[in-house]
Amino acid sequence: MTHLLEIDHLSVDLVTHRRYRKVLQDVSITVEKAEVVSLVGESGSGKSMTARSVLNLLPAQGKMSGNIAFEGQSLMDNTNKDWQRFRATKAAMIFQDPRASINPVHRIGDFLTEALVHNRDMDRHEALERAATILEQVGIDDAKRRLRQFPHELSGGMLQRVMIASVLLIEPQLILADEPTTALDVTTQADVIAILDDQRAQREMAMLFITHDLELAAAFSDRIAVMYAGYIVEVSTPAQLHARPLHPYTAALLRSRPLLHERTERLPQISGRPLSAFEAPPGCPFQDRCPYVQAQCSESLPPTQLINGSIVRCHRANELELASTASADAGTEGGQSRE
Amino acid sequence: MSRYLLRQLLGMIVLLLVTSFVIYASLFLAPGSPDALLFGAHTVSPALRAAVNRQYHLNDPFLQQYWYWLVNVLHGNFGTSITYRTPVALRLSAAAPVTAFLVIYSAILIIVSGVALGVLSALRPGKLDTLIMTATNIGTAVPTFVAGLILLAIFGVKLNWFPVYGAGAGFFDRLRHLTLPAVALAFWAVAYLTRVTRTSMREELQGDPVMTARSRGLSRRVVVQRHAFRNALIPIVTVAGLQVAGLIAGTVIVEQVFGLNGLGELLLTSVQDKDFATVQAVSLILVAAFIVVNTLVDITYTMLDPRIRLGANQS
Amino acid sequence: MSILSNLIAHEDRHLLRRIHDRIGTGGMVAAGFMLLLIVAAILAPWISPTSPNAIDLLNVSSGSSWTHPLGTDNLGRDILSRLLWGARPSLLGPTLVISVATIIAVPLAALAGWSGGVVDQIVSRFLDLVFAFPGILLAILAVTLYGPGLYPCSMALALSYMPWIARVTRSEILRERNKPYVKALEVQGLSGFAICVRHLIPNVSATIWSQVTISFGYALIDLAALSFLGLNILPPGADWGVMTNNENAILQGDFSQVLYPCLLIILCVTSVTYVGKRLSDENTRLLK
Repeated sequence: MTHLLEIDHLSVDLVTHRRYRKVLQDVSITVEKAEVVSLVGESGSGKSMTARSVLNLLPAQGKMSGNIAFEGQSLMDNTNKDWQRFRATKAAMIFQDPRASINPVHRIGDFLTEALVHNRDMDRHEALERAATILEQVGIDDAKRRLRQFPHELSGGMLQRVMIASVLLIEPQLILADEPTTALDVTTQADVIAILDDQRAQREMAMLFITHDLELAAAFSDRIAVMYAGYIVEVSTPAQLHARPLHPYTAALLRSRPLLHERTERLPQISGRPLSAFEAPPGCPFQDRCPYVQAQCSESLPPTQLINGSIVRCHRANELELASTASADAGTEGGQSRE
Repeated sequence: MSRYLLRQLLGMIVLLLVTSFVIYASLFLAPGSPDALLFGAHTVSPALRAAVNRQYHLNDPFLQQYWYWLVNVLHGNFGTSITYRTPVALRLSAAAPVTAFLVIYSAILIIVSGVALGVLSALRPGKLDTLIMTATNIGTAVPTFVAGLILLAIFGVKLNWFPVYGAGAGFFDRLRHLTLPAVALAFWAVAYLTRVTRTSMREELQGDPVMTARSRGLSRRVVVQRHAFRNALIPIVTVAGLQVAGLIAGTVIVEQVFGLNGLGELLLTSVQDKDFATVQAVSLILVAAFIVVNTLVDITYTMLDPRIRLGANQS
Repeated sequence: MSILSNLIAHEDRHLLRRIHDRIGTGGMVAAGFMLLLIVAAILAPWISPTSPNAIDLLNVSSGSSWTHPLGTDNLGRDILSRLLWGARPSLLGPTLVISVATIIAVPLAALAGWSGGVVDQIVSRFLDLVFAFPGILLAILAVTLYGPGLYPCSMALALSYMPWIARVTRSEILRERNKPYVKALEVQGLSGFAICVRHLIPNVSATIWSQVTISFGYALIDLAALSFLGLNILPPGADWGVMTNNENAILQGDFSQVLYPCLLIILCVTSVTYVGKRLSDENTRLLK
């Protein structure tokens, strides 16, 4: 069976301070048609770079190795023209901060229609008609007037809807959403996510959703991939992830979120700081912060294993019994205070 | 938008009035009496002295004198040159075309080559970029008169391609005569504008709007034109405008190097002759041109940036 | 003694390294070149081969020789001596310009940036007004009133450079003023004056320094141009601008007499501009 998107052993190196540094290591993940897969992780874990790699939008001098395939066709030998065609038709990206990403000097109408006009030679008026229809679908009324406005005249939530509309207009099979609500007010976040998911589902588009918010990811993803230091450490369904996390990092993430029905003096935190891929020690990247660390963890990189349909990268995944809430797991308290 | 435009124009008029007042009033800052300065070392008949006193209304209150002068200037009457006993306006109209030609010629050179070199440099990192940057690094340190002297020595004297003196008559002859002066005048500004254009383009090429445009599969041409260049234009126009406005003062130097009878040359000889009426008139014209160009730049700038354009409307 | 000299050497190395961190190797070379010129200018009476105005009629427009290392000009004056003596007004002038400009600009900028409101409006409009007069033109007006010379020219240029420094400083102070630590100082009851003098101005001084350094280069160019026009230093006095005003030599195809002062001006301006740019790059880097 061919997957819609298949990322296979992807590694990415970027130039920072005049030196190549790893940001992604051996990342493998698939997205099926109409499926939502979330990439969850702290900043610097490589989740945005994974999405950017799919469109070949790495920073200058970035290097990719491994394979990315779309509908069974490898993208790695794509020419610039091939990439342009791929971006114009197959996959589109929603960026984090619409205020920065939507060019402030062009009108909303021009922003929405430019891809149709320049890539598909569509008549401008026809493109504007379509744009107006889609604007209404994403919950922007008075669309005709909005098309003539400039980005700074719209609120952040509105602008992100415009961004969503621009992606829907292209009718891609895959949406790459890079923390689409992080820059927005908390109150508008839910609206925007709901609209995005709703419209996507209607059109049967797949989505790779990037977020640092595990709750949010769980709310509407089919599968969740947890990233740490450039590695994918666990891939699972939301239900399974909550019931039985397999990787100590996932468990720690789950425990460190506040719960509505419980009052805690202090939320448990993960000691130490998140690492980037190039800082990770040999062996398991999480070893320095892991309460369950053993000698083998620093000796070799854990292989990925399949347990109950979930993918996990931990030497002790089979023996550990992890819980997703702090109260249900008294045993880890001691482990967490250990440096 | 129109309200913003009106405010800009009003500001310009106020600034013009104030500068004209400063230029006029500076006559009275001089050590000694105004008429001593006016006449300088010239011995003049009492009749002429009386006539000049009448012309400058030296016996009236100061503000009233300024008012008379301003009204006259607005009617195109800049008074009479003490030294040459001809109307200043006549001398101005002889000199102004040379300077205007020079400034426009030079402005075109600056904008065309500065922007072209800057964009080229930004789009083609590597050898060409390094070459252009090294050249502009040196270029920004070369004073206008040094550039003039070097051009004169090489293309005027050594190679004898261009005339070394005078402004020429008729369009093409003038173009030939003013090529070296215009290049000398543009030299520094081209180097500077190239750098600004390059930096601005580089920033935009790495910016978020360009990333968005690329993510949508737009061709490189569209990305560069519609997004990178269009956005980079905002700082480019500002700097280019300042450069062109700055040329107006630079003409004084270049006209001296190449022996051109323009406004700058007129200003210098008038200073040496203590011909204050002419100094006033030329200063006023140069400052006014500077202010007008600056206002035009401000207006263009706001046309390019919708955030300012509409922001001003809303507030 | 050796302890003392070690200590000094150690201190020096420390200071040099600190400077090196700010402006890099290129900046050190540039700054060293400027320092060399300043020393040469001070020592001009002792190190120049001849007097700057001594005329050697047997060697008119000569090339370089043992007696005249850089040759002579068309009046038979030693070019090296004139360059050395000329360094004095050529470097003193810009120093005067930027000192006076900074002394006026910084308090004005602090006043505008700190007070805001009407005061800021008035100061800004005043700066706009001064800004409308190109430096060269102001200098020409000054010469008309007070006659040619280094002081009228320098003061006029100082006035015209003032708005550039003031604008940059004002916007920096505005930005700094909104930072929480300033609020904290205000709450502690420090007067606006004390906050400006003890905190704001020192905190934006890096920006002021880079702007002042770059202005030095422009002032050097403008003063040389004014000398070239015969409004600043007058012949037979020597500064680098005067020395370039020798069109007779150029028209006769002899560019060498003019070449050295031209080169010195370009090198000086390149050096100070480079250091200024490095300083401001470093500022933006530190801010990020």
